[in-house]
Amino acid sequence: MKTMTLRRRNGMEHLTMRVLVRSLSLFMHCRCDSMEDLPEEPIIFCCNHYEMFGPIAAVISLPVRFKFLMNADILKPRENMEELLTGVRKAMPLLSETQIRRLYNIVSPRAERVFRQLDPVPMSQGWAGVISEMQKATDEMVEGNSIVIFPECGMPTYSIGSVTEFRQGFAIIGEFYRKRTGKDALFCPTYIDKWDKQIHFGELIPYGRGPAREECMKVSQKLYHSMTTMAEQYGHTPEEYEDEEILEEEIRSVHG
Amino acid sequence: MPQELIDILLRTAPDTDISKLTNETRLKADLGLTSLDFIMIMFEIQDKYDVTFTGEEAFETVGDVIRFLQEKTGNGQIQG
Repeated sequence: MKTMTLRRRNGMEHLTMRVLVRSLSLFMHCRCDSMEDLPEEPIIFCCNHYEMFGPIAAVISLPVRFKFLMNADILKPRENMEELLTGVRKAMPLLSETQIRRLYNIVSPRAERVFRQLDPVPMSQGWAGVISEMQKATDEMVEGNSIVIFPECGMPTYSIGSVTEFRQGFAIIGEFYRKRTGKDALFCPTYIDKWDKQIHFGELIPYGRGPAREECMKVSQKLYHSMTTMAEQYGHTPEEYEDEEILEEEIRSVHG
Repeated sequence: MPQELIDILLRTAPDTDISKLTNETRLKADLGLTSLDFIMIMFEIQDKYDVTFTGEEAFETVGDVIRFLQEKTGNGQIQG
């Protein structure tokens, strides 16, 4: 069995990230709540997306070296323009089609460069890909990198920081990790609070020793439960949200 | 149909009517497999047959899985 220690960023990586962090942190840096409670070994951070805030906040705020599991389409923004534009339209309903396309053409090549710099593990949308992608993620963990994943499968109401149900299949990483290391993979519920610029960590959830199917479901359910608890604690209620029009529009777009 | 594959399918989808299982049986539409079911099948197949997936495979039917296994294992015994 291989002994693992948590890898920290090297000099060049640290410098690059410092530049990125400096420019973005003015708006998006989050304080990590009780980071000292996390173990000195690679874990799987399961985060809420909170529009694009979640991924960016994770990049600039988590002080460990990690790899993203990222939708492969996002890594090819020019090839998948029409699909991705649907998301942009939803996020920016007030912009005209021309403005949206112009903005997309300006931002997407730069975003692509940043995404590639992060060297993520690309996630295809097909089922068959999950096994090979989770094995790649396991390789990264064995190398000492933590994993960051955004497992929500629905459209949350972002304005109040809600969380939707989690996918389950990603937890199979626990099986591969045990085969490689003999250890239980640890999943960390990670609630990114955009309003108060904080990242909160829930209690670690170990991948157990039961049948794979049951373990995947159990991990996903426990993560979701922990995340909704944190969303209730740190998120906001609709009553607290001041701009009712935006909130109503968002709820309409989520629930139809 | 190889018994091992039937066993894997039955473990994942216990309600499957084996007598109606053919190469043309569609995994999603006919057997009603969910994405988690499918991942479990792939996981078990990988474990059982020691094959690796690239992520490019498109498994629509039971026959697709059998053809994949025949190609990967070079085992003509795996018959549809």
